[in-house]
Amino acid sequence: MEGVFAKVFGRPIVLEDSLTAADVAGWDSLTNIRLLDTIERELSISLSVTEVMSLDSVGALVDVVHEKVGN
Amino acid sequence: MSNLAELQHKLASTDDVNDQLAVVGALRALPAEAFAERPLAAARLAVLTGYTSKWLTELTYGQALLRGVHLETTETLYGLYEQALFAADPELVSFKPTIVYFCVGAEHLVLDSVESEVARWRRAWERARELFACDVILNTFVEPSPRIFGNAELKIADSRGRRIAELNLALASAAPSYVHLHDVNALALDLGRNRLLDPKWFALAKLPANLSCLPAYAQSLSAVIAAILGKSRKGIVLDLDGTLWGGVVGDDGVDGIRIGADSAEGESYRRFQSYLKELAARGVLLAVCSKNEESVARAAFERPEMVLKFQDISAFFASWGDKDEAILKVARALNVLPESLVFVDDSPLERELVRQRLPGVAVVDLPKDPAGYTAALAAPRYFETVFVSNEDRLRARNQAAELERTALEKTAGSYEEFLASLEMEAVIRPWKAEEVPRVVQLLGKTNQFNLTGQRFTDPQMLARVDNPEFLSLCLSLRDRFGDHGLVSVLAGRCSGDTCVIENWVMSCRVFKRGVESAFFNEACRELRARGVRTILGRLVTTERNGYVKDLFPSLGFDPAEPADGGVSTWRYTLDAEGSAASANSFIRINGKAAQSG
Repeated sequence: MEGVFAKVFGRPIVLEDSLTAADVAGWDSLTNIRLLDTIERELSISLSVTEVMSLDSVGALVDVVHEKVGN
Repeated sequence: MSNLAELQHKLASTDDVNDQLAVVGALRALPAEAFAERPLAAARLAVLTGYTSKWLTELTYGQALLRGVHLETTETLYGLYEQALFAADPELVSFKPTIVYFCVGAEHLVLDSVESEVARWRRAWERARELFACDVILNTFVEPSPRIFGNAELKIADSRGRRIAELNLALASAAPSYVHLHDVNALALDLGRNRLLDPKWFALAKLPANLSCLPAYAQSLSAVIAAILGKSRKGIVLDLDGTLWGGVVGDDGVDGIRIGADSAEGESYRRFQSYLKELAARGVLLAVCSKNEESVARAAFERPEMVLKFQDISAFFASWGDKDEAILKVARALNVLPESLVFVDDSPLERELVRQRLPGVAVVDLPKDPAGYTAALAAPRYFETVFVSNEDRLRARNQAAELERTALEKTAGSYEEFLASLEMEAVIRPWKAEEVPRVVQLLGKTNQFNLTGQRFTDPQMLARVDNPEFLSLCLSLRDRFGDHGLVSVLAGRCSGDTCVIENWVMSCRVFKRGVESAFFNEACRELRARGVRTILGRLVTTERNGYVKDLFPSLGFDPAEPADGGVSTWRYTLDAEGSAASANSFIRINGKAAQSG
């Protein structure tokens, strides 16, 4: 996951569950799109629109990803 | 390499949207002076958008730069693609675009009727032209999926599928010369319509297409921009062996090369030639640079299965010199810059040489399978056009058949760097029993580097293994690109202090790398150790072995007897020190760097 963030932001980002967009420079709503696309491609999972809209922190994102990868 | 060149190289080597956006960010941060080193065309692109097109614009900036166009860009606010024009938005007006791009799609259509929709877009492009005297690019509209009427959709006059199909054709007909189509509908066919327009991307962020497809979308759009500015490429420089046909005409003969419908391989080459022929008919220039005897190369074009004929070639260079020199000659002959040329060659080695020495030439990364050649040449869209004139078609034909043959001199410095970069390693030793079939085969089928034409049988060569009456050396070569295996054989008969070379053959794949002198030096070392003082060699001239006509003098041999018909004999005196053949410092021989003598 840290690799995905580094790719999208062009710099290493230290990830914590409570991390949100407000905490990271350059993370806007459009950046979400790129993060989700990259996660989908690298982990071969698919995130639905509703799932995506519900995510408000890195922790929530990681939870959803774990669910998908586990299945 | 300069910063700009490095970044361009990075951009060209990735399809990933994140990587490309990162490079574009770096390019945008370069100072204006950094761009002075390339002859770039400038344009001011205004994206009138019905989508969130920020990333598309950035990616297009990058792709346009790779095509030699430096863009200044701006976007209207989301959804205001018509309003900004009709209200003469001050920001847009002060930007003074030279190209206006309508980044719109099927979701923006009203489509009461095809006619009313065409009229709507006509009003928009006329308004843009009136305000800015600019060129206009308009997306074609992607046909819907699913089709409400299913397979019957095209038969139903009022169906959305039928209307959009008719709309695209009507727009193409109505478009004046300053309006250019960006065929997103065709892009959808190439990439998969439901992948390109996976609805979730519009739902999430109003993106014009699937995020992962934006690089291809931008590459396609940049090709239209480049065509408008006259920066499309103009010609293709083609290799022959392995590129236009299967096999090596110099070794396999005109009848031995594979071209035509009788094999899968031949069929693949035939299709590639058909594609090239269609490009030529359109005005793209075709040139040939081949390491072959000219007469042999030309003879191959007489095969009836060849789709390309000799008259289709506007410049034809068959010589043993380096390909980059030949490409420069092509550029001069066709009166174009190297930046206008695309190089197509199945050899990764030749491609790397040209990439390094002529960075302005586009080099196509051909796959191993010739069935993929057409797609590999077409994908980068080097030859997009905004119109095709009769003049273009004639130009190609008028430049046909300019045959220059001049001796090429290597530019010592850079060629040596290239040879060093190959990391060549050769093993030179007497052949072993299990290698005899390959030894005999090489002696039998090599025509160009073949001194006497003498062939041998397996039992004969088997008898020479570990036999001090004979010199039985073979050379295997590997380099950065792979292992070429056994590529040269030297067979001689020794008696007393004299050795007679009965034959020496070498595969044309390894010509012009110093293998000749490396092999000869090693042979001399071996013979000197055996107490041999004199080496005699014979050259039997044939139609095919012109390549070796000066081999003996170049290695330091003196004429032994006057030439008699096509046969000449030569003598070399081995002294205690070194051989006269020039030291080859680019090939590691038998695990150690070569030294002279």
